[in-house]
Amino acid sequence: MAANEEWTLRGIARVPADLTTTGDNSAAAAPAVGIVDVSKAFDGTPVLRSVSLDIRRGEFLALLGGSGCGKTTLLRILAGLEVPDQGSVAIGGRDLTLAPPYDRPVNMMFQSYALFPHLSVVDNVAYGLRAAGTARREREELVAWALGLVRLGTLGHRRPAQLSGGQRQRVALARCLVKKPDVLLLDEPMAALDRNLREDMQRELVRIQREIGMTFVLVTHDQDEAMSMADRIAVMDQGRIVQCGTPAEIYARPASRFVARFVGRVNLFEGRLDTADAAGPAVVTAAGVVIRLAGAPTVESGSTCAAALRPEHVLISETPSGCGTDLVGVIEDFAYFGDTTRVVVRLTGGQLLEATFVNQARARPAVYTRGTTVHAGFDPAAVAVLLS
Amino acid sequence: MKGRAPGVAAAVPLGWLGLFIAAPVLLVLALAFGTTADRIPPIAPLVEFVNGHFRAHLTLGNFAAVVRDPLYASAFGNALVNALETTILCVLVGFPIAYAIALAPERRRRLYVMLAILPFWTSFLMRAYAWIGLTRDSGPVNSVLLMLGVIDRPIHILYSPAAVLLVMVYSYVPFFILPMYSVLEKLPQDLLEAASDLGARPGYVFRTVTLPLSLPGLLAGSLLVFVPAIGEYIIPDLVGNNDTVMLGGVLWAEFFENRDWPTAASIACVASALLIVPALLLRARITGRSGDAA
Repeated sequence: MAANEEWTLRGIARVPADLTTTGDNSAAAAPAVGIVDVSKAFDGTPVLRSVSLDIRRGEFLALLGGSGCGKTTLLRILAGLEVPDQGSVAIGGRDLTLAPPYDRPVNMMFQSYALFPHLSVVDNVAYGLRAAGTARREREELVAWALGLVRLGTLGHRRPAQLSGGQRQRVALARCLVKKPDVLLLDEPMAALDRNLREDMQRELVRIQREIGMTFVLVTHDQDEAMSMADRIAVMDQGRIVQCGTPAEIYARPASRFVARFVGRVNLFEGRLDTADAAGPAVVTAAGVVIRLAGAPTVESGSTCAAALRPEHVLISETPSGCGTDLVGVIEDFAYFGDTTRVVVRLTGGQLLEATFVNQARARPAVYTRGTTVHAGFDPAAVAVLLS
Repeated sequence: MKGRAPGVAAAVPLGWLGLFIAAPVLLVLALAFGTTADRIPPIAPLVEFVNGHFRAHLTLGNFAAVVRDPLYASAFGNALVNALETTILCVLVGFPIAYAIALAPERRRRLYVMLAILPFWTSFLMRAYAWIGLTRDSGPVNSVLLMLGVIDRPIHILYSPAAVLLVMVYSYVPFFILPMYSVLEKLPQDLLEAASDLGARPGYVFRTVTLPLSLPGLLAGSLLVFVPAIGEYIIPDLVGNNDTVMLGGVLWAEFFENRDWPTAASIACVASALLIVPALLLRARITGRSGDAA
């Protein structure tokens, strides 16, 4: 909180005058970013199709999707580096759809970091302040603040070529933070880092975001990164946002087969909804496998749908499990990961079912050898019904 | 075997340099200390073997004469001014062209680069003569200007310093465009985007990112224009007036008309020294700075 107050005191408040005068409530009411019906095509190929999204003030939002889903294009539209073919983008309540990059209270951290090779670390960080004509004393204070925030206080005189990958990334971050933008855009910031450093930097970014309360928008293709860092995730596919919610919502209640598959691992049972059974609603596959449901979606009985089940919700045992659904199969494969074990079961009827569990004892239980007949049980409440 | 291979590989470029660069330079340097003689070649032997002794005939008199005679100083000065003007104009004309090519869609760039060097496909002399036809009083340039009513009577372009500059820039600008373009083309796009994203307007981006990062190309292109321009002989001779003596002209006159090789050689040596020493100092400064950065 202290950091937030200091920030407004330093006077780079970019909330429009008409909003500040009407008090905190209405300023807070406008989302940090309002994207309405944005579409974009390159050479006739649609990249974004009617995307709408509100990004809240101070939240850490991840745009998650595979390559070519349009997430980077959406980020570049927010930065002003691309102009949408239709739709509008408002930042802090102001329509900035057509504003050039240099007229936006938004800064972007590039995947390549895009550090100026001919400038020292300090001059890189000070670049945006110099461009804005910030007075020298204030500029020096802000640069020192930003370098301190990313823990790079002592390397100010070096050139980017003299820095390690992780240090370069911190410089790139400091260079954006020093402008104190309303929204910070991060384009796959961890892509160039090795695994251990990546996890450190993920924690570091979250720490910084909490400390200064800035709105962060992160583009990533890495679901773990999105899950561990973001307050909310917008999952994108083929130029659309297919679901937006907290990591828990996305994981536990995926809106579609795509989301269920993209975020985490999942078992999908394709079949038809049966609500007529006296034993309760179920999804029945073509092979006759019956998956019990805790509740039925409000669609007609007989509609095609999929029952989605996370591997960690499956209980594998040699005796009937006593769970709401109990399926029989033969262990086809297993993989031991140290902390967890993954088992693949060929169910009666032919479908494969994946189950994971935490290895609580040091030795692998003897039951998990290929060819063993086992019961795979799970609670109806663990099953999500997907209609699309 | 393993140890000798690099030696053999190095022998080729070293031999080339020795044969075509070092040897001629040393020859000219030696000539500069010689004296003229009425023979072919028109120079007294530098070293003679007389009565069992070597006797050298070396003199510093040529250098003294060259340094003392104001004609040579002014010829050098004129050539320097002409080369500087040519270089500056080549930068002013060539930079926008190189920049425009670099900004063009990728598939068009090759065509534009080819167009820029297209004049090289015709003999240089032909093009220089073409300019005589174009710029003379009854030539197309004057005709069009007269027809449009811009001028009342033909302006005398040909045989003036302006004509020299015009043809010099025309001839040398491709040498500037090529290195300039190759640097601008490789300028990372994300740096320009980052600068813009950080609040820099296009002019500021140009000054603080584009220009500093394209400086190597600007320097290389300028040198490629400046160095040959300073010794340029043909263009001033063809389209210039005879009042402005230039280095190339003086060298030509001493060498071919007066057949005074030692004087010609010492002019060449002094002029080269006057150019190379500052160039080396500049280079030392630049490499010193980038060494500090690396």
